[in-house]
Amino acid sequence: MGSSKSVLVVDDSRLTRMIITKLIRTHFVDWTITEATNAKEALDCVDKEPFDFISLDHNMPDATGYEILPQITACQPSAHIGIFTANVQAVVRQRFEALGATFYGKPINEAMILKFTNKGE
Amino acid sequence: MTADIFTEDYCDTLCELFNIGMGRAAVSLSEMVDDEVLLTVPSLKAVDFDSALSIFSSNSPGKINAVEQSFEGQFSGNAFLFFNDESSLQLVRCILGEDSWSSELGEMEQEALKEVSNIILNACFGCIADVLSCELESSVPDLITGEVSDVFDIERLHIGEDPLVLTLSMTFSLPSKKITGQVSLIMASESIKRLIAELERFTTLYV
Repeated sequence: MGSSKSVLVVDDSRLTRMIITKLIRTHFVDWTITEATNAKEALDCVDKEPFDFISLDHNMPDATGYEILPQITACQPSAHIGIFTANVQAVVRQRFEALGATFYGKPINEAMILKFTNKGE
Repeated sequence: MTADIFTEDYCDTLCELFNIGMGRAAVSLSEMVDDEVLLTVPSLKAVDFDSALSIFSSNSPGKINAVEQSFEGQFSGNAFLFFNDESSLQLVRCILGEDSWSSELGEMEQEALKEVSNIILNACFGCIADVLSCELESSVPDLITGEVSDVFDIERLHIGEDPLVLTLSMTFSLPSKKITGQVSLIMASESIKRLIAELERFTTLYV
């Protein structure tokens, strides 16, 4: 499936990080996956290194995905960003899509991860 | 059995399932009130029944309105969504419109509160059942009003031996109103063990 890519998984839920990581590793064994457990860690990560894909939660304890998305995009304009959130209201989806992110409603499944990771390939 | 059996990892997993359920419920709620519903990050704790009573009493002094639904399936128990009096009235006013300015819950307001709670609790049950691939049947909602000790009356609940309380605090708000609700599941120790087995089976898929 092409050359090795790097992924940043941002979610305060350990379960969600596990699911996304497992599903990506199932299809892309040599991809590098970094996890961030809150918004601050996510911003630290995007400051330090480039990522091809960033999965971003919306409701996090220290900030919302919506609040940090502009900073992430500014730091990493070529990364493909997928929003993975339980908050599946239409207005939330539209707001993220207007910022150029792709929206995925939880629960996360394999098809979503394949769609997310094939973007930008 | 002590609350320690329900470890942080189980709390994280169940909390995320509730989070997804509440996200689904927020879609329905937002349609009912024709506005965006803002959700806070939920937190879930497992505590023994007596500790739960004292926490609830201290967090929610005075009268509360609780909608209770029992659930049965691979595991069983009683689920409660409760609000203090002010949050209940705020929520009902959002649904019925600002014309409903009664200072207490009349028959119409009680029905509205039961219906919205039914939507929220069933979204949570549905999500847990879908993700864990099990089936949960829930009873019709019942509204109980009174002090915390009236709602969580162990003799009335017939809950089984050695119950634990899994309690999820979550705030949902509208642009102009903050409504804090709390979901609690009371389950007997045998059911807690079955729930743990289901959570373990599920998380093993992703280790």
